[in-house]
Amino acid sequence: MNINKLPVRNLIKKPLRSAALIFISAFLVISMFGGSVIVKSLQNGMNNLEARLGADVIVVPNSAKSKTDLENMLLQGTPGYFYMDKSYIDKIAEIDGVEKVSAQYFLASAKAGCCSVAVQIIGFDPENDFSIQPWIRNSYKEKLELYDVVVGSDINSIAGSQIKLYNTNCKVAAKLEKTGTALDTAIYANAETVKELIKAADKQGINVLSENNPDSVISSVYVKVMDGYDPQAVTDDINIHIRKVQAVRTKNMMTGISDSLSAISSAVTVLLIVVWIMSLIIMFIAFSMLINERKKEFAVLRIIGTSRKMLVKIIITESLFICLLGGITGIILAALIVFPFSAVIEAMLGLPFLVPSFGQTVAYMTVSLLLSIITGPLSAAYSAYRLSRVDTGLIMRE
Amino acid sequence: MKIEIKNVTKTYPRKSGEANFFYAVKETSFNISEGSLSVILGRSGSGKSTLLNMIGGLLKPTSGEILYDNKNIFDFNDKELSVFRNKNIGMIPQVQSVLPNLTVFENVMLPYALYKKENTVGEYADELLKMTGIFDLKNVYASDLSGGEMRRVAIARALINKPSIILGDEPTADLDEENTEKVFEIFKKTAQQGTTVLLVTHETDAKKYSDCVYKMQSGELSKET
Ligand SMILES: Nc1ncnc2c1ncn2[C@@H]1O[C@H](COP(=O)(O)OP(=O)(O)OP(=O)(O)O)[C@@H](O)[C@H]1O
Ligand SMILES: [Mg+2]
Repeated sequence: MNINKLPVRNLIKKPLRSAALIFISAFLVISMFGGSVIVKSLQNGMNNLEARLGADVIVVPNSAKSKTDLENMLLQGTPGYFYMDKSYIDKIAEIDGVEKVSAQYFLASAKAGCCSVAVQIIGFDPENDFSIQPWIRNSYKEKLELYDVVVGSDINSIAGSQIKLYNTNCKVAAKLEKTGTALDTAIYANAETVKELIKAADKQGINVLSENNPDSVISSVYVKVMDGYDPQAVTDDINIHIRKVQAVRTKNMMTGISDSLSAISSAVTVLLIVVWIMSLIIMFIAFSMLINERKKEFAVLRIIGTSRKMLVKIIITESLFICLLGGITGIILAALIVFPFSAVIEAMLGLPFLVPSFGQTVAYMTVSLLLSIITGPLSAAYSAYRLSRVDTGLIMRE
Repeated sequence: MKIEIKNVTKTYPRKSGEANFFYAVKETSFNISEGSLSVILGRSGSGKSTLLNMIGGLLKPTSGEILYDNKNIFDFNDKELSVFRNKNIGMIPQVQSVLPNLTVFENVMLPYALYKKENTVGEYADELLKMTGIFDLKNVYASDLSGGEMRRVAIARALINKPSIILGDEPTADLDEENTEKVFEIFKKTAQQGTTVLLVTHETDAKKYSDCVYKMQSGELSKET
């Protein structure tokens, strides 16, 4: 017989009671840990997308759909395409405050060939691109030749393999690193390749360009604003002086989502605080009821010579075991939900989602676990202390 | 160990009536000699348990002192008093007092295990279980015991640390005649070995085992001659 056995024995001999308390603290950890990882993943995704694009302003044709198409493409990965004349590149470059311009060429792949669903194909100009090539260079140092493509990390092809786009064989030169954004589901190639693919599509009777010649069109222009110029002023300038195009500030495009993101963040944060306070109250009530119900048991311990301090220690140990078990259960459950299903969560929210780094995840885990671990003893301590102050002789009478 | 009860009183607040408190135990002084077996008789509500709990250090007297070898135990701090109680006082409470989540054996061993790591009294615990007639129940959880069996667990538990004094508050309450006699024999033997025994009881038979008989009447203790 060892007195340290007592808390464990008390838990084992009352399995239902213990399970209920463990469940409460598991729930606490699931919401704390799961909630903070989800919020952080969304923030990571947004930041990453903004950094990845590297453009201050994006210019698209003025057709009603092109702006939403662009947003859907970049944020949700819905393939799309639209075209305008390539002469706009020079017009935009002449606007005051524009430092760099580069054109993109969009095309949606047909379902067949490589992927189970249609994917976005994005072409860039090797001479002046400042958005895609720096990223590609992280995985592939060589120059991309005609019919060379680079695939996003979510595309199911390995480097060195072949994929067929519009009946044209393309070589997968490299696979890009994960960004957690819709950019991961796209295929990248130089402008020549994309133009050839547009022609190939045409031959198959898939008419993406109604009248124009593929050699004279572009889809969008990424603009980098000079230091010292206000990107908003440059955006406005383009919208006023150049007809038939629409300039969008990258920041503003993100703001729509940024707003809903920060709304989600603060809602989740408030929810987490409410959950924690609720759990604290529930735990507090549960433990004071529990201790009250068992006060004769504790009085017996006092009668045989347990000091106040030892008694409080026994009660706190019991609550600590409960919260530790609940906390670990909660972390495992939350991890099982958040990590394997991050792609599903991303699709559900329609927002970029990049799971935090290992270190950060461990930090969230530790904080959630600590919060849950202090909840139980904090709740139990008060009741235990109050009980230990009453004359044992009086407790036994009740 | 010399035990002295000196001018002890206990009052409780009263809800109605002329005074706003009443005496559960009126001023009482007496000495208990080492190795004696004393019994306190008295009607229900006369203050027997109140007095016994004060002697056991479980209830603070309103006034007066409880002296063990000339030291007032209520001058001890909580830790000192707890250790003192563990070593020197074997208490058998009036109500059931087993820990339901421990086995009979573990319940009996508990006062010993509280402050000692190694187990050297297992055999003595077995002996106590045999003496009280519950050895067969050694590994049964206390929650599954009958009232009389629980009572005997409390008696064995009070003896495990070989205390200086046994305080029994109606220790034979749930026991049949045969077991009652057995328990009094145990107390008699314990007293003969030098342990002071003070029992509250309704058994008038107890007189024949006792060296000294007290009577409690409305909080007033008197020695029966
Ligand atoms: N905590 C308390 N608050 C108020 N009154 C109390 C309290 N404890 C005891 N009393 C009263 O003090 C008196 C003595 O109680 P005590 O329990 O000592 O009696 P007793 O002689 O042990 O009775 P019994 O034989 O029924 O156990 C009773 O009138 C009881 O109601
Ligand atoms: Mg009583």
